[in-house]
Amino acid sequence: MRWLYNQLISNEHLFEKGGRFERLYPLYEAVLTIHFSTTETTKKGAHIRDGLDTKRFMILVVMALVPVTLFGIYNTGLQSLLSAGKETGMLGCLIQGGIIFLPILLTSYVVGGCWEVLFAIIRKHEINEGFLVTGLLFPLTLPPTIPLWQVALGISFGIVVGKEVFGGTGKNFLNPALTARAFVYFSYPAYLSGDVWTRFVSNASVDTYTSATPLGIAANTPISGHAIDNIQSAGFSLWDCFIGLIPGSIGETSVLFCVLGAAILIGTGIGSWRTMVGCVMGAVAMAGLFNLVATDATIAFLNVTPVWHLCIGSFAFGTVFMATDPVSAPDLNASKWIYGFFIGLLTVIIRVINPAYPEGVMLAILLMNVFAPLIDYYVAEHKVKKRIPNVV
Amino acid sequence: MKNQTKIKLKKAFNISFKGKPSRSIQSVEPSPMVGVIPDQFKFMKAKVIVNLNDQVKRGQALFYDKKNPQVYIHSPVSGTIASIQYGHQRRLECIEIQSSDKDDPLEFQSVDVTALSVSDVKSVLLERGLWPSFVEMPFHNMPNPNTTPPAIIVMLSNPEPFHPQLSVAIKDVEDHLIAGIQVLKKLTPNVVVIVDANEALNCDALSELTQVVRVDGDFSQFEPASILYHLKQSVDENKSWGCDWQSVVKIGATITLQRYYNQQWVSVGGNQTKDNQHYKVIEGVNVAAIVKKKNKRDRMIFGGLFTGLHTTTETYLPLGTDAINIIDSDPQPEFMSFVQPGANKPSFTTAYLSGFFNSFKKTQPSTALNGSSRDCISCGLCTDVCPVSLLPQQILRNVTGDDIESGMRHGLLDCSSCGVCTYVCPSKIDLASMFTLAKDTLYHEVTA
Repeated sequence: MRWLYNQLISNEHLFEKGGRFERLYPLYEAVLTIHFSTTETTKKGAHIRDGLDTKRFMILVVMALVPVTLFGIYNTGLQSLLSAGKETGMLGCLIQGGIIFLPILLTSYVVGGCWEVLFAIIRKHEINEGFLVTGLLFPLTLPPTIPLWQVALGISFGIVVGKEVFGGTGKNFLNPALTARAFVYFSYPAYLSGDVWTRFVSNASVDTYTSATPLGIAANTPISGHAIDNIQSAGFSLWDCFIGLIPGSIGETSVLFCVLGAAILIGTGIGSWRTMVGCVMGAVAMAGLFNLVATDATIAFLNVTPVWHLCIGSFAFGTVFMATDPVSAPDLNASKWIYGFFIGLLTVIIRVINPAYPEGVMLAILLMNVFAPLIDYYVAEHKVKKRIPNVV
Repeated sequence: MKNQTKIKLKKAFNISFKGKPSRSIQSVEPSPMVGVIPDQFKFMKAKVIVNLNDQVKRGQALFYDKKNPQVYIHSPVSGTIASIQYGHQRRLECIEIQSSDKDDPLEFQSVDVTALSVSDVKSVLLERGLWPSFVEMPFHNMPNPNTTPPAIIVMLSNPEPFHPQLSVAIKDVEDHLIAGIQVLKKLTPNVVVIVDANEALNCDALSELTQVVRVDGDFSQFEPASILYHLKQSVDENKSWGCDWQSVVKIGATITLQRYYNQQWVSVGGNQTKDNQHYKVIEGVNVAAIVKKKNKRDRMIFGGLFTGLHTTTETYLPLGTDAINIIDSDPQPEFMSFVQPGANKPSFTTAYLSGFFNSFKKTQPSTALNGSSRDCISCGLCTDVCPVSLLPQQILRNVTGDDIESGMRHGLLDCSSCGVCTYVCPSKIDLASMFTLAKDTLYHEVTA
C-alpha cells in the first residue's frame, strides 16, 4: 500500500496550482482521500481534532443501508421468480435480484458521479462523499421495473437541481435522492403509480407483471369496505409487511431491516433518533385521529390502524434514511421533533385523503424539507429570547 | 463555609486524555537568559521603552501598551537587555534579557490594602505591572484602567486538560492567594471564585472573604466567559473581568513582598516521557530548561490543547503561559481508515468502535486533522458540546454572511473561544477561530 501512496503523492504536483492537470484536482483529491487518510495537521484553532470526518459520517449511512440493500436484492429476485412460477432458492433469488438491481445501482452511481465530478471541477470544490449515500438511496426507492434511462434522468435531476445548483452537499435544502425520485414520479407516473412493481423473468411475452402493493389496495378500497381486510385477503398479513417479503420498491418493503438500519444509525450517533421518533409519533397520532373519525360513510383508508400504517409502504425506509438526512433536516434538536412529527402526520394525511398518491412519505419529507429552515428560525428565536443579551 | 455554593452543568464534552501531568513539582533553576514574549496578550500594541544593553531591575518596566498607555509590562529578572526582536509590521516578538548574577529587585512601597480606595488599588496594580493579569469579557482584551469591573471571576480550576492544578501548589501560595483576593475585593465587591467540584481544594478560608462557587462540569466550562454565561443575572455583567489563580497569587505576592513576583507554575503534558509533571519556574524561562522534545516532529504547544498558541519559536515561555503540551505531529496515511472499525481512532462520538470506551486515555493526542475540509452538513455536534449553549451552525452562517448583528443576537459575544466546536466538527470547519476573528473585528470597530 505504501507503493500506491508514494505513487499518488509523487504525482501530486501535476494536480496542484500551476500543474498540468490543475483543473482535475478534485478528482485527485477524491482518489487520494478515498484510499488514504489525510496527513494534514492543524494549522490554527484547536490543536487536536476528532477522528470523525464526513467520509466516515457518510460511509456509516451506507453501512446502515447494506442490510436493507441485500434484503432488497433478495426480495426483488424472489418476487420476480415467484411471479414467473419458478423455484425460489436463496442463491437464485439473490442472483435474479442482482441482475435486476445492479444495473440500476450502477446507472445511478455512474451518471450521478459524472455530474458530481463535473460540478466539482467547474466550481473548484472537493468531490463530496455525500454522493455515496444519494447514489444508493435513490435506486432503493425505485420499483424493479424502472427503465434505466429514467434512473439516469432521475439521478441527474436529483444531483443537479436538488443539490449542485445550490452549491453542493451542505447547501442543498431538499434531499437529493427524494428530489430525484419525485422527478421520476411526476414525470413518468405510469411507472411509479403504486401498481407496477414486479420485474418479470425474461423470455416471456410480457416484460412486467402488475400486482398491487398493500398501499394501493388500501387506497382503492371503496367506501364502507374494510381496507385491512382487503390487504389481508390479497395475501399480505401484517407480519409479511413487517418482514418485507412482498412486492414493492426495491429497498422499502422490509420494516425489520429498516429498524436494523435505524439501530446502526442511532448507535453510531449519525442519524437523529429525535427525527425518527417524531415521525412515528406523528404517524401514530394522525392515524389514531383518523380512526376516531372514521365511519362507514367515510373513506375506507381512514380505518387503517396506526400499526398497519407504520408497516406498509416506505414509511419505515423514509423515516430512517430520508428524514434523518442532516443537511435537509433542521439543525436544532427541538426542531427535529417538530420536523419528524409533521412528516409522520403529513405522510398519513397524504396517503389517506389523496388516493392518487398512495405513497405519502416522499412528499411529506420533501414538504418538510422546505419548512425545516422555518422551524429552525422559530426555535432559534425562542432560544434567543431566553438568553441575556450580549451586544455592543 | 459562609459563601459556598455549587452548580451542576451539563457534561456534554466529558473526555480525558492520555499524558496527564503528575502531581509532583520540580523547581527549575533560572536560566541565564530569559525572554519576554507578549503573544498571550490579545490586541496589545507594544511600545518598547528600554534600549539594547540597558541595565534593568526585576520589576522595571520594559514596554507599554499603546492602546492602554498606563499599562506596562515589567521585567521578570534583573539583567541586561540582550536583544529586542520585532516581527511583521514592527510587532514586538521578544525581548531577551541576560540575567545578572545578583538579583536586584525594584523595591515597591508598602501599602495597607484595607485602607485603599478603588483608584489607589488601580494605581498600585498599574505601577507594579500587575494589570495584565485581567481579561475583560466579551472580547478577552486587557481592560481599560479607567473602567471598573461589574464582577471579577477568578478561576482556581482549569479550562483545559493538562493545566497546572492549584491543589498541587496550594501550600506555597495560599497566603498570597488570599492577599490577592483581598486586593480584587477592593476593585469590586463581586469577586466570584470558581473551583472544580471534583478538585480536592479546601476553600473555607476563601469563602470567608468572598463568594466561592464549586462547578461540576466538563473542562470547557472553566473558561471565565463560560462561567459568566451561567452565572450572570443581567446585561450589566457582560463586561466582567476574568483572572486565573496564578495572576491572583502574583498580585498578592507582589504587594505583600513589595517586589515584583516572578515565580510561576507550569505543567507539561501530552509528552510521552517522565517529564509530565508540574514545574516551578520564573517568568520567561528558557523552555529547554524545563523540557525537551523527544521527537523533532512533535509539536510544542504553549497553552492548552484547544486554545494554545500556534508558534514557531520554542525558546522562551511566553508571558501568561501556564502549560506546555507536546503532542505527536506526524500523522501517517492509513489505508481506507474510514471503513475500519477504528478501535484506536480517538473520537468523542460513537462513529468508531473507540467511541464506546474513552479511547483518549489510551492514545497520545495528535495534531492530525483526521479528515478533509468540507461544507457544514448540519450534524449538530457543535450545538451539543457548546459550553455556552450557542447554536454554532447558525452563527457560522451569520459570520460568513457578514451579518454580525444577527450573530450577536444569537450570542456570539458569549462565546468563550474554548475551541470545542472546532474539535468536534466532522467537516473540519474551524468554528472557534472564525468566531474569534469576528469578535476581534468587532472589537477593533468599537474601540476605533
